[in-house]
Amino acid sequence: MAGIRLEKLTKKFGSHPVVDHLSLKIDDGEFLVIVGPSGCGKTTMLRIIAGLERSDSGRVYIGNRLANHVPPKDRDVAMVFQDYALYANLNVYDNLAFGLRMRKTPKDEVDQKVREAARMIGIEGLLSRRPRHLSGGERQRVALGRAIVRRPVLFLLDEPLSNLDALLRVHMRTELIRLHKELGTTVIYVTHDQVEAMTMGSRIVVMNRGKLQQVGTPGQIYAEPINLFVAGFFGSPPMNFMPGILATENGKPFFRSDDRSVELELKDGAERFELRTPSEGRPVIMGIRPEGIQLGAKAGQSEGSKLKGRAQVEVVEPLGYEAIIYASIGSHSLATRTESAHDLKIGDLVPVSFDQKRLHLFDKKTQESLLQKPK
Amino acid sequence: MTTASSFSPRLRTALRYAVAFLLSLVILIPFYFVFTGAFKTNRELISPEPTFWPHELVFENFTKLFTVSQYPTYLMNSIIVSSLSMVINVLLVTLASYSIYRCRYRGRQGIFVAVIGVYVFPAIVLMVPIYQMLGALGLVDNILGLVVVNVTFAAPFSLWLMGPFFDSVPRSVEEAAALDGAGRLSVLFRVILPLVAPGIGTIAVYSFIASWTEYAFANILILSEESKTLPVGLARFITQYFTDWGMLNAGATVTALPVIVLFAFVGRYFVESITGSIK
Repeated sequence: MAGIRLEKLTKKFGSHPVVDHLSLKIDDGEFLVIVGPSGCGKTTMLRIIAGLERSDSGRVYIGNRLANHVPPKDRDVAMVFQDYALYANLNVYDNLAFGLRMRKTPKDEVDQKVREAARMIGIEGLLSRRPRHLSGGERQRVALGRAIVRRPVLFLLDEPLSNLDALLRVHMRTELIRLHKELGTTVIYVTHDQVEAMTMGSRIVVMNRGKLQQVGTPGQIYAEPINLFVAGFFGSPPMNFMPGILATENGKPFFRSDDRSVELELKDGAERFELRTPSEGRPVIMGIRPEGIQLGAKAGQSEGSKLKGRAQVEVVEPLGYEAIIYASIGSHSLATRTESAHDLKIGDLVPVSFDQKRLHLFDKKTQESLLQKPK
Repeated sequence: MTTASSFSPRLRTALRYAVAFLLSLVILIPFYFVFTGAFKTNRELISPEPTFWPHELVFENFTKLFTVSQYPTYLMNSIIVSSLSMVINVLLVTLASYSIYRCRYRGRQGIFVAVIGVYVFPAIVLMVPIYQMLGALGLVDNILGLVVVNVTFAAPFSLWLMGPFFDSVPRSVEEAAALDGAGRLSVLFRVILPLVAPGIGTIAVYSFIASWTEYAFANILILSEESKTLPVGLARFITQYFTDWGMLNAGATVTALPVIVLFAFVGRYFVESITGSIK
């Protein structure tokens, strides 16, 4: 087993950097999820770690060994590909055994390891079948089996669940987490799906345009996004954004939206945010997650700031255990989340309040969060 | 009552069958007469009224073919030339197509265009230079010269045929094998070649048949009787003063056999690769 260290990795396709000065440390035994929109460089980064792609500059350490010039077969890593990449001409048993045979493992040891891996992922009954006679979920399992059978130091998983149907995907998520607990091997898991990232990763790396945006636990990423991109990428429905300016009144900071429909006092503004003085008129973007907005009777009950204006209910989406309500205030449409929407009907004008503890402010120009960095 | 809408698809199917039937008649009738002709007497063959079925079933055309004529020599030469051409073509093209379709290096596209470019010229245009080259190499009147020529003309098309087969093998499979510990050659022989095997079968059949039926070069490059191949040899059955039609039919029948057998085995792949329906 091994930790991984990436130092200033850069890879360009033409003049366009796909991975841009990326540095990252991955602990031994960690389940790290790399997430970002398609084309953000996450798969390229994975391929560089696997040795399938060469970086233009920077270093890759696997364990304590500089791996830049180590060919893929000697890196002792296993990768699960999005399209599974099974050997179509071999049956499941031989697919699993391939890597062991290539490494000249004695025959009875191959047999023992293949059967053990097959048992772990529940494909003992499929060993004599060819890949084309397997369902998508079964192929996925075989691909996983092929990765774990060698007990490599590192698993690289490239969107392994994206070709499965929704139900199977949820099931495989828990399956993968269980496997990781059982094996304890370092996992780097690439996905564009924020839900996968949130539910699976012990740490999440958010990437965009080849650059590392934020690294943190799922909780940190959700609650303290460091910029507008990260804030907008996670959450469903996503965080509400409202452009406006910062102003002061009676020595207290407050936020005013561009269309003046929302004026919000920042009660503990000085403690929560890094507000450089003078911040008067500074263009910012205010962000608040759907669960940070209260509508109707609940508005203003908690530590919220009740707004002067009222919001008009536009769409109610009951989801059973909760409801998503879209309401408009001024020119803004806000998504809110509530446990019950019995009292709200489309067209209602209702009071609205924002939870102060869940407010975010981003600099309009740099798009960086103005939240105080944890000391 | 039959409505127009329920009738027309059936009519269309019937028309399709009718057209297909007529076309296959055009192709099959000559074969039929060659095949049945091989079992007719010469008298029956040259009679002004053609017979659909032999009046008298005889095998003497075949016994004459293998005892009196040079046919066994031609047959042996053809087997040697076609088999060698096939083996060399398959070896060359398999490796070349891996390089062209799977490896990345400077000039790759240029090489591909140059190889395929051979097809710009009708083979006959190259007859004189090829004759001179083979002459310099001492390969005129030598069946090895025919092997060289056959491979030269079969390889570009074979290379082009292999394209879709290689495209159907995802790169990730190669990469998975590389991570599994396989070196370049192991990846090629254990992973890729088994997956493109239908393509290899196709080019094997193609190059065998192309060599088996090649006439122009075999006619010009081979001078002596003992080095001639079947197409040229069979043509010599037709002479100025006498043609043994029965023996010619028997020779043509035996000559067509390997082609029919090969197609029976890999014909499906062959058609699929030509029509581009490989997945």
